[in-house]
Amino acid sequence: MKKRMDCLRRYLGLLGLFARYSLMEQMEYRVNFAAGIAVECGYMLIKLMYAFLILQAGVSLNGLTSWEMLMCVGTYILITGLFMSMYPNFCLLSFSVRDGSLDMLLTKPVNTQFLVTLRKLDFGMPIPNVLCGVALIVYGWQGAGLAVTVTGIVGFVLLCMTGLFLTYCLFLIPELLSFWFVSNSGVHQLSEAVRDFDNVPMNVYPKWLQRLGIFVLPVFVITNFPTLYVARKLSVPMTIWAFAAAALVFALQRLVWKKALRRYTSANG
Amino acid sequence: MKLSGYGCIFGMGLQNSMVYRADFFLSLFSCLFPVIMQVYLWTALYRVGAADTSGYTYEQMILYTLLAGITSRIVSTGFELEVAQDIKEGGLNKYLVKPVNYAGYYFARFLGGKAAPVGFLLAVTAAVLAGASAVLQIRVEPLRWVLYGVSVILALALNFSLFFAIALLGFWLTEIRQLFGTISIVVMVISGGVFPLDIFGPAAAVLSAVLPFGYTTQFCVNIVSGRLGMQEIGTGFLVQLAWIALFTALHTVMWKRGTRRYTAVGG
Repeated sequence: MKKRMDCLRRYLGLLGLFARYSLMEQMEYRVNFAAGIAVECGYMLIKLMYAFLILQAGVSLNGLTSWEMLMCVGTYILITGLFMSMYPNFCLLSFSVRDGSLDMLLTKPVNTQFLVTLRKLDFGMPIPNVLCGVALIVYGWQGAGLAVTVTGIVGFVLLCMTGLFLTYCLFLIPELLSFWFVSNSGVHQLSEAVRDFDNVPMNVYPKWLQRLGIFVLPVFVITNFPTLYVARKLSVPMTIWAFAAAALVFALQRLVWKKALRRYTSANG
Repeated sequence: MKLSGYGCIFGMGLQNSMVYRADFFLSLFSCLFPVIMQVYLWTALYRVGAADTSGYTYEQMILYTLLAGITSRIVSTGFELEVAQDIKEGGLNKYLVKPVNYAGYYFARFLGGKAAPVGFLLAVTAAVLAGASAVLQIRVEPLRWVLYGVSVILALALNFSLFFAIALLGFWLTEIRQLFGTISIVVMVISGGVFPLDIFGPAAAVLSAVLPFGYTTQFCVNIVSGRLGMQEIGTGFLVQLAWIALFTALHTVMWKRGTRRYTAVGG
């Protein structure tokens, strides 16, 4: 147990170092930093249009009030923002595979996946998303008249963290295809399009699509379950499923990662 | 350069777009996802009578959603990064010493790159609309399809001249690549590529009528959806032509002034 705690402390320390160096690097190019924020504001504009339409409608849809749906959109914006902090690593992965620069990372005495997927952390892109996401969640929570309790907040935060972890695992898998194919930009675009299904709450979709998005490709678990939990509309088996889905997708992603690394040929390295 | 030269560049653009065919089809396939999402959203809102859409009927909105996703993909650009890189890293030199018009070169390549996706998207559009017409009982006059085709061709030229002018800002701003991301997203939104702008109130409707962006997507789609009368369509064509002339004049002036400033760094 002590060994595991030491290991965790070491990796958290490394994460802190990555964050520090990333911030120093980004502060060197401040215009790029501001431009990153501007790009995210553009994407957020689209997400806010969905939020506006839902709020403007002001009705309950398949069991969720418009305020609760607003919370779902807010959660999506928040989790997307947090995911964006590690997203540059996902984009760099295919380049590292193609030009052989992964070689250097493989030689380091650290878990390769940890190093490859978390070594560059973006601080600009999450800012607008986190601010706007939290604002929508608070606004929606208040508007829905949901009780503010410790269990509610803890459960919401825990499910959001599970959602973030699920996003990381689920959307890393398509990027790993770069070990098999020269260009994976099509798969990249497709996975982004799938992620965007969370732009609107899952209760808008038909039952078959909801089941697909919960049990097969659990994208709906990411942003809908925290709100459903707070609104007391999430059953105990479904709450358990949220954590089980994260564990299962993590296991699958590790399996694909190991297979992918075996494919690595160090081309141009 | 002779016209046949630009024909070769067109061919090159076509070949480039088909190098990674799996990527090509996957990226086109991915543009269906937001359309599916919006169709379900509108269906749910209209079912409970809660869609405040400034007079769009359910059929018109579904038709808009189906066509806007495809139209915005047809008219989208993407060459601006290359132009900015040419300016920044000196790649422009090779074009300056050749008897080729730089804007003409990129326009021919842009059209070549578009040929295959547009062909494929038109086939998808025809299939989707045939299905939608059967389900939603929508009847669109053949003349409106012809006018839609004309408007899309003009929208292509308008979007090219608009983004070419934006790309030439590279002569004055060294690092503008990130800026393109923001601009293209904002342009996509304010051109009506996600939702028709007029559903966001009268001010948004006026802006979409006055600014050039709405004439790249929303105007084209509303020809088919039946929201526009023949007189409005005629006026729209004139506005499209006026914006094309304005942006072409703008990028011509920018090119002349920019090349005077150009220092061929790294060339």
